[in-house]
Amino acid sequence: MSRFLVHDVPVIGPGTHVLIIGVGRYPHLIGGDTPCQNPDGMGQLSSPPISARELANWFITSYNDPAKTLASVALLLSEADPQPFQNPKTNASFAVEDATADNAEAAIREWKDRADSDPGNRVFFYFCGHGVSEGEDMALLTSDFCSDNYNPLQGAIDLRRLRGGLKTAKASEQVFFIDACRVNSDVLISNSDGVAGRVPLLPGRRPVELPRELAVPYYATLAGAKAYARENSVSLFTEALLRAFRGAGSDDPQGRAGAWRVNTARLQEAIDHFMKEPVFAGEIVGVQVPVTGQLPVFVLHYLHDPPEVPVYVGCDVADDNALAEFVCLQGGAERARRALAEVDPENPQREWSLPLKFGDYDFRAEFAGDGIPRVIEDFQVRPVSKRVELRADS
Amino acid sequence: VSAGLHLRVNLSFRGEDLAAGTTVVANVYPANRDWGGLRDILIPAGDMVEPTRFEVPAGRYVVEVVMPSGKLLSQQTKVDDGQEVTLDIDDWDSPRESHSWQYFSGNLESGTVYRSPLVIPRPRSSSSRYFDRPAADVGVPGEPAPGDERLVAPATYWIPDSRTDGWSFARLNQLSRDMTRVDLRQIGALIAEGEPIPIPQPTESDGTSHLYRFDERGPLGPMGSPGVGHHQIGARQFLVVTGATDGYLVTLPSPWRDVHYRDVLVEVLVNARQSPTGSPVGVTVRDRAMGAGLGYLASGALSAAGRVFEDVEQMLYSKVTNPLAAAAGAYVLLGTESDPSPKPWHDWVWNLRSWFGWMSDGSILWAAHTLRTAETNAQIDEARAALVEAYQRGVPFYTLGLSWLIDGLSDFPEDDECQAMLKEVQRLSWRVDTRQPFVVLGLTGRPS
Repeated sequence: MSRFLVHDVPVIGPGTHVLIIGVGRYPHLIGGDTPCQNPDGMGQLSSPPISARELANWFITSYNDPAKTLASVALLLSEADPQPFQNPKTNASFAVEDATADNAEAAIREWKDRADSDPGNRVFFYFCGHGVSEGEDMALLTSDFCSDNYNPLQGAIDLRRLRGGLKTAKASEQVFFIDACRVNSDVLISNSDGVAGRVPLLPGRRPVELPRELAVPYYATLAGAKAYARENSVSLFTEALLRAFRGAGSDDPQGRAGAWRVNTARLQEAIDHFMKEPVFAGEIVGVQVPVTGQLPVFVLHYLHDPPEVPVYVGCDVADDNALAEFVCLQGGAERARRALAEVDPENPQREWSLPLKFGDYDFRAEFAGDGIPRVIEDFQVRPVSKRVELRADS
Repeated sequence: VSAGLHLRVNLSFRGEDLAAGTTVVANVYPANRDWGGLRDILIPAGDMVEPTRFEVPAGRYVVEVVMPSGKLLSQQTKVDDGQEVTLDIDDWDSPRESHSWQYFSGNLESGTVYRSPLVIPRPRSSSSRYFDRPAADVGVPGEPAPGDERLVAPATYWIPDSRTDGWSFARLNQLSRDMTRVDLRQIGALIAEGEPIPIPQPTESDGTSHLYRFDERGPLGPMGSPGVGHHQIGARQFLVVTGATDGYLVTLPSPWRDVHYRDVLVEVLVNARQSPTGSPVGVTVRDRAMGAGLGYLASGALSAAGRVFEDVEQMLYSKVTNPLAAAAGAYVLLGTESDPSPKPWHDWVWNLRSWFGWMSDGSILWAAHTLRTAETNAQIDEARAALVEAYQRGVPFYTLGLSWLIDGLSDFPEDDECQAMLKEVQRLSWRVDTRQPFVVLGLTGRPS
């Protein structure tokens, strides 16, 4: 078994192969053991390894496509305090390889070999860490970025050329999640004459005998790690991705006759929704993503359970949110409550956000003293999200 | 017994050209999952538009609308047997009524965010939006006080008639490489047939966000008055936007005709509101049939964009009314295509290549389509020829064209000519705002 794999299941026929890279510890950037002369404002990140672990866990426990069952998950992490990864299905423990450029290159080649096992395969590539991007070029910075003073990009993977190299892979469905917070090295690639890092796979044309590859990239492109990375928690983009897979990005176009499923377009809509939702995205709300121009529609995941939907509850007058206790009921029984003590002192007008399973709910806003409660009954909660506005006349 | 659900989105677009509203994509979800509901339906949007009726079984419904801005609107309703129910779904959060089309298109933040007094930390990245400010973190000297962010309107110049070689990759690379400050004389000499023409005032402005509108004759002044008088118009027009330090060369998709061959206004937003996200310059067309599709395209909602363009596909491709709109439709339809079966619009991609030599987008689209469907090496060779032809025709109108040209040329690593062209296209792309549908080129770039 490859040293990068944390999950490996023999699959006959098409399967799904996942490669996850989370880089948080950068020894040669600010705050690292041996910072380089010009780290260009970039430092340590706590979020990427946490995000990468969460996503790996989700794939192993929850990913479901009977036509392309999960065959492998490879994981590379660079974290301040390296810990083994425990496979949530088998309980096997794995020492995770460091996300250096050498290791990333080797892991990508092995992953490509697995992708070549069947033209019906689906592959996922996920990267979370520092990124540098100019135009169509993007460097994904591995943990040894800046270790080479003569060429810092020896510690990076060239994403555009990686995608070009994967055209020769047999796997016909290729999905990329790029959760790279960008800082100020906006001229690094142009100063390197367009070289954006190592090229693990030589670019080339897709052989005519292979089925067309359906490639879909999803970018976070959050600007400014210092301002917007979430300390010690899953990154915004990965959180949006996970919530989308858990239900916000699902649909049931066949009604009861079919399963809830997440397809590529619905996933894009859900991620976009989260990034435009102030309660979720905070100050980066409204982030625009590069126009990719590629979104062939195919199903990525079938849900085992009813979808989990983000719900935002508030009063029509935002000031009242600070004064109300919010209650969520289902079938007459209380399911959740936001007590007054839980009002965010920094933003008391903030709506109450909670995840709820698909279904019908009642919502109440209760006020101390003689305040008249506001009620909405039989409110259907379904993906992508629901906003509950409790009005004074309700 | 069935019932009727009448749907529309209620929002205002100022201007008679959009009085009849536009269309957006919606889904109807029944509470009773015995029926699947309706997906990707088109409903009207505007303050004076009549709702569209959809026949549904009696029951409770959630109606969800995907706006081009990326915003999701949703509302719940109940329809009894034989009943006709109208659902007006509101979207009234544009910062200004004059800017409502830009808000609708996703180029402008909501009124709540736009008017917020909070100072936003400004990351030092080209993906953040600022105009004429030195790159720096929050709190540095020179940072405007909260609420004191109104800037003098940037100077703008119209290039109505660019030289045929003015939009070649080599020429535009030379332009953006050599300039540290916007040099109008150099811009004029390299790309324009005559002198760039100053536009004295924006068509509309709130002091921070400036709107420039163009009709088939050129820029419009305040209140729609003629902007700069009569000038000879060529195959390709540009707008130069300059501040004290920053400068942009903006592709104008003008003249733009709707599917009935009527002139449509092109609208350029120069947004000086500081933001960690968003573009300083955004270009849209006030086309009631296709404008929403371009908005969806820009926000990455290609599936919704595809639905809008499918609706006008016949009109788009049956007449040669607007090759630029046809190219946008082809990008979306190719970008969302999952199965390779022949489709009527495939022939039109060839027509775009062969009929409109001034537009490299046609060659790029045909090459991309051919590379995907090629079954022989001869077809691969034809695709290569189209890519070379696209490069020789010059910079495409659409940012996606740059992306697809890079992707296509990268397919020929063994070919020296393709690799040399790839280098030039790649170099130009470093200066282009990849979030905008039309090519917007940064002229001065950032210091190394």
